[in-house]
Amino acid sequence: MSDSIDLPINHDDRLYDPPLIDHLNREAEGFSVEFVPTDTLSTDETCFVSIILDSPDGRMMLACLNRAEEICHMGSIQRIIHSGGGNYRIIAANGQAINLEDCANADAVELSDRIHQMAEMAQTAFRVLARAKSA
Amino acid sequence: MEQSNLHTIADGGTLSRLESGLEVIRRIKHEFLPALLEMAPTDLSAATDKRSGSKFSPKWSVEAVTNLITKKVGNAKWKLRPGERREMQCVFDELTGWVRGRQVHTIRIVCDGRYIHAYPVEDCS
Repeated sequence: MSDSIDLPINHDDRLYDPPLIDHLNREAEGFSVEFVPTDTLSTDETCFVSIILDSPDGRMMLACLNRAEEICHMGSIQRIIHSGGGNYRIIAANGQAINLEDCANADAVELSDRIHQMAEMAQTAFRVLARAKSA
Repeated sequence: MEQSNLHTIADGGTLSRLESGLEVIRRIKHEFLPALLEMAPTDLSAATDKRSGSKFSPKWSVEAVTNLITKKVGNAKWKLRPGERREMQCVFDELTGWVRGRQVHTIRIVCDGRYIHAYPVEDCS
């Protein structure tokens, strides 16, 4: 197998369409997630969902976050903040922080994917909750 | 935190800690960029869309936004309640920023129960 080539990737190359995490905060009980919704859900700038840790959605979010923690090597991730475009700031409980654009390409790509997965989960949880409220 | 030092605060960092324990945080993606004033409409639309984030006008500096949040949240007596979202909208006569390339006069203040920030939103019709 040939060696891989580490091509420089601009952080906007990792630019996903919504849903996007805007601000994720991990509390003792679960996750407070402000996310940028798809226009099909809402034309609003952001929506909010609170996800209890001890729930199917909470466990899926935690699995994604745990993988992100393995990549970042900073210990427990406390918050994820969208800095615009394809860039995020990841803040650990111990105060350490990194910007996605400063990560090695392979790490940045997987982190982007994990963060997008969490945004998808948050939007799905929001839809389910909204449907339950309107029923 | 001294107002003159607010620009040294990293994205997501605390600009002001309120008496209630709530924290006003910096959100760089919504801050004014001088380049916005020179952009063609399509570029301005992209620079202020959902992926890039709406942008404040020059008048709404980090300091001005922090002061607005502190005043409004203080008046509303929001409390530290993790996981409990609150929001309010403030409408002004002057331009507050751009959303998807359109000029707006409204600022939304949002709180997730612990962290507070603000950004321009479309005016209600």
